[in-house]
Amino acid sequence: MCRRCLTVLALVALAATSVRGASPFGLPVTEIGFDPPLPPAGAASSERALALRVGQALEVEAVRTTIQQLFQTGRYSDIRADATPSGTGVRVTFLHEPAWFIGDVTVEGVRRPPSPQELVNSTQLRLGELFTEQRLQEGLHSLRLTLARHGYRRPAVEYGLRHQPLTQQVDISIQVASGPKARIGDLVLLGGGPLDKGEVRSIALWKRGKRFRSDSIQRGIRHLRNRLRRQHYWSPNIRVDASGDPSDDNLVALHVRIAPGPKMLVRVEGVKIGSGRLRRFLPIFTRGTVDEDLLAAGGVNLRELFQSKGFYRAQVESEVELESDEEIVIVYRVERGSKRIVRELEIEGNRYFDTDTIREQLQLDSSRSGLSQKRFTQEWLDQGLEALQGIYRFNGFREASVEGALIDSPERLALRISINEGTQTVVERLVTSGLAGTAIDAAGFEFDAGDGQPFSENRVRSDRRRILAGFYDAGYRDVRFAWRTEAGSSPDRLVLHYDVAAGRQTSTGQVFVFGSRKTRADVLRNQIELRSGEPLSQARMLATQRNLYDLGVFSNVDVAIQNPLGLEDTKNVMLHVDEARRWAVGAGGGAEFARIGRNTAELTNPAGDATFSPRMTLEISRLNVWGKAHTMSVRTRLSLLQQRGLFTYEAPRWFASDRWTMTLTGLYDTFRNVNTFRGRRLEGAFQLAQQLDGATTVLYRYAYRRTAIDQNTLNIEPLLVPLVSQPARVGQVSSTLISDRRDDPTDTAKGIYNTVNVGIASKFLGSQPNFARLLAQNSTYHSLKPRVVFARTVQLGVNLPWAGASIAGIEQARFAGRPDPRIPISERFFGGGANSHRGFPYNQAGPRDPATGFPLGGGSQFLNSMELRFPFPGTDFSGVIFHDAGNVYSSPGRISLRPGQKVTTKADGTKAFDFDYMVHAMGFGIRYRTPIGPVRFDLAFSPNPPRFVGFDGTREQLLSGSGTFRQQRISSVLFHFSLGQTF
Amino acid sequence: MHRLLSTSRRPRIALALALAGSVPAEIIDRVAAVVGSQAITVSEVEVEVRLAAMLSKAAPSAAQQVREEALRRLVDRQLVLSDQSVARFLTVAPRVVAAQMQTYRRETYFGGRDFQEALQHYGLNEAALLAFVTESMAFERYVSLRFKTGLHASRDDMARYYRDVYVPAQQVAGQSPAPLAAVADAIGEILLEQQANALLEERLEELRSQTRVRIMTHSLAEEAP
Repeated sequence: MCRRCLTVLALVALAATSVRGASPFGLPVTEIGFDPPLPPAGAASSERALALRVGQALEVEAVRTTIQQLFQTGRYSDIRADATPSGTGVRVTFLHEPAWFIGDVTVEGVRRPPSPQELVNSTQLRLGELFTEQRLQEGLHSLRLTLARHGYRRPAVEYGLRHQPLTQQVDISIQVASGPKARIGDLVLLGGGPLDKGEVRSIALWKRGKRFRSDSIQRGIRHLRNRLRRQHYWSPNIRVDASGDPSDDNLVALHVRIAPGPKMLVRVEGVKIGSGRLRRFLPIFTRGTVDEDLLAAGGVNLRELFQSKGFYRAQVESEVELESDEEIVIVYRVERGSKRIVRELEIEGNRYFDTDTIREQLQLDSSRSGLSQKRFTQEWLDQGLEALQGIYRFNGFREASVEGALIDSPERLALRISINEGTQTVVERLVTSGLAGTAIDAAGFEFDAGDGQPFSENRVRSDRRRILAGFYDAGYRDVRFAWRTEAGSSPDRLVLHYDVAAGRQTSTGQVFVFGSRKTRADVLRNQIELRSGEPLSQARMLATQRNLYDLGVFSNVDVAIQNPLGLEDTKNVMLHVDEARRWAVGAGGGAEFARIGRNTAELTNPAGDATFSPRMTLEISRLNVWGKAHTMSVRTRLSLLQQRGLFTYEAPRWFASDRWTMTLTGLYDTFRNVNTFRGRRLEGAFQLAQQLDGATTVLYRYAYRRTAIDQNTLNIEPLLVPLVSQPARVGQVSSTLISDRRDDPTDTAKGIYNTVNVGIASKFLGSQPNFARLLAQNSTYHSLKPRVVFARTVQLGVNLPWAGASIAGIEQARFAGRPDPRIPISERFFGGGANSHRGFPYNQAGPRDPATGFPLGGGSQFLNSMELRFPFPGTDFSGVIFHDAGNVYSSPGRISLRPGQKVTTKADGTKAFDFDYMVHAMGFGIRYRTPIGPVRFDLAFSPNPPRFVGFDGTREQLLSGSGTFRQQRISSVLFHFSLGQTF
Repeated sequence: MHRLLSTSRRPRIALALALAGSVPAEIIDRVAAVVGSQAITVSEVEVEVRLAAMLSKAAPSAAQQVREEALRRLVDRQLVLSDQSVARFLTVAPRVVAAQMQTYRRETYFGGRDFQEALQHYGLNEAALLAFVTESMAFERYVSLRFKTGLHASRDDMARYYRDVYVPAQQVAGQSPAPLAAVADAIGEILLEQQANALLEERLEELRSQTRVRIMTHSLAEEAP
């Protein structure tokens, strides 16, 4: 080797030795680095955690603090600090292994049930939390247990991990080869008991070869427990062990151990009480165990029972008469005492609250003065006194005492409530610290314990809750609240202090959205209410989740903070969505049974016959069209009365606002639900819906439709045919204001429902007839007592034709060969039926053809309905008494409240009937409550149903002038069967 | 050095220094254990070893076993401090810690000079000792408030301890045992201490199972900072 080379190597060795030998501590830091470079997801928080500064001397404490602070961010699983000489100083490098956080977790390969989401949930691998190998293995173990519960006893579970360094997220993909479901095999009965093996298998329905499922095992245990309870074993312990491996033919043996426990017999002395009632009132039966508390609770329940029946002095004692391993005998001794109703109530000592308020706290009707019958029980009194005490304390009466005593003398039996209010403590001044600059400091915020308000700890608690909620929402997750009081200017006044330590504010970092396959990024982005740099708000996280659910295209939306336990000022938020299936197909069937027209050539009965009409429906929906969260659907409905195809395209969040929805519809409809004719309608509509607030919606709509009446089915005077039944095109703009403040739209107990619809059809909109339409409804619901509701509604509709609808205009149009300018029959008002005026069959109200008696529809309608809805206690049935009044009138000017139908006799002796009068109907109905709303039956009686001239014969006979005319009338008694309340 | 080398040799020296710079960097600190989200570093273990040596007036040891024991103590202390913080037990006031430090300084090392020399000898500073004393006192308070409250040593227990432990120990030491009445208080203290220690150990087991604890003993085998 050359001399120069040796020199260089010697220098290298010397330099290396000198570097290794000298301590880097004390040297200036020239550079700080991370290896590997920091991922963007946690770069900011890591840089803030550095306690080292370039230019400062390297110190061991600074290095240690930096490592600890970096670790506290939660973004590292290991850190090592290296020092390398760099010029005259030292370069410090933090070599690290990043922590990983749980991202997308999927489980595939298992047939439903269980659903993939249930399996994902079973792993307990929660979005955003720290991923460790141990957690993964625990998750897989839980998954296997869940699969086993569903009968998959030999699953092969594999998983794959996909690390995403940019977000420090690891996606976990679990593949399951579930194999076939196990089946129930041998049954091994362990221990003794009153049931043999055959009985157990039979009662529990654990037949050999039946598919093994955890819920069928649980159901079987329930059946066994019920059977044992019928034999007075009220605390049986039943264990089923099915954890053994299945046999070669995939059968699982059930090892059943039944410990029936002692027989429990209860005897009641002093009164007679049925065993069913006893089981309801004694918790020892429902809990299946005996202890002193449960025995006492049973005694209280029995005492309540008898006191509520008027035995106001009833006393109940309980005793365990016999207790052995085989049998427990319990005796309840009841002394009912004499029966006397406590009717009188005295309230004394109240000054701050009036007597009505006191009665309200005692859950008494304020419209009466005494106690209602069966009201007094000791339990009721205790609860009422506690409520009164609470309301006084809340209002600053800290020493208030409330007592109740019975005045029991031969002359008088009364309950006396004595109130000693004491002095009211008032907050003289509220002094706050730590609230400056927050929303709570704003003038609009009202403290429950503010200046001049009564003082109570409950008020302070209420303020505390609201203050903390405000701070949490502003990203202060470590906020602390403390309060204290000082004496005020007088003994009943105090100075209240609220001290708030906000702590560190957490802001939103990045928002990672994943799981979406088809949905467009901008659609997702528009729903996110979290902005980078803004305070991390729990409320906004939930709002984002709600927005995404509201799109209707996701079956699951998870929102979580990434690295929740790490101490970071900035937190990333993870949004995981699962898209729902994009195609939905639904089919259904049903039938209608009512007095509906037949539309045959037979004209004899214009009021219609009772008709049975089967119905089939088919609906196909496509969700998330073009990834824009729009929905497209086609609905078809086929019945004897109607054949309908409806295409809908719905775009929620139109104008990028959750208040607007756009809908396009196309409709093809052939119908004969009006007895007079069969029609065909083609309609296209564009509608915008604007949600003004939670209860108010405005609809803006343009509709264009072409309606044609089948001339061969038109059951009216032939002369009228060309005038009212020719095909018509209607182009109409309309607007509807809907204000819905009902508590439950399907079965309303209280609230208001208003709608106003205004529309204009004009030739400028492509319409042949020119008319305006107004349709308004006002409904109110008043809760008189629990489940007793008075409901009323009034509806008014008018069609106002203009431009050529006069007689002269009609004639001009006819001579000019233009379409008839009058409102076509398909656009007229029809009414009557279960959801309208119950004094008419379906769509039978209003003017009628003078020759055949078939309904012609009207130019206006008015309906006033009133109902009293009341329950049948203890059942799902309720009753209704109703009164309907109104009609469909020939024109707005002909609306009349006159109850009698005018009849004029013509010169030829025939009669002409006027239909512009008010028809009344009253009756009663039965409702049966179901999850989808009440099923309804109404029986109506009308004292003044319309009479009219009808025609006995066929259409051909009418055209040829044969057949006979005969006076007819709508039946006075009608029944209606339907779903939902009338209004 | 510049003066000794000619200009023509400078590139060679630069190369030498550059090569020297590529030698493996020196580890100056690293994570030795993780308790929840808290990291305990190797340098803390070193300080713990030295503090233990100083307090027992023993020579500092670099033995792996000693360092592992120190690490385990730090882990337990961290568990307790986390528990204390969650349960919001009273912390020790700084003046109480200062008084303890003063006592230690005065009674153990007979004055300031010996104390400073001892610190220097063990490679420690006063801040490290202060932190140690603060944590130790907090630990004692935690044990006292959480476990000693309500403990009771019965007369039977004291008699049993006197008979089974104290008397045999005195006999082995060749001393005549004092009567039970004379040592009852001391035995009661010992029994309470034992009960508290058992409860503490139980709680530590519970905390270990609830908290993510990862001990990387291999990091202690590497060169200390």
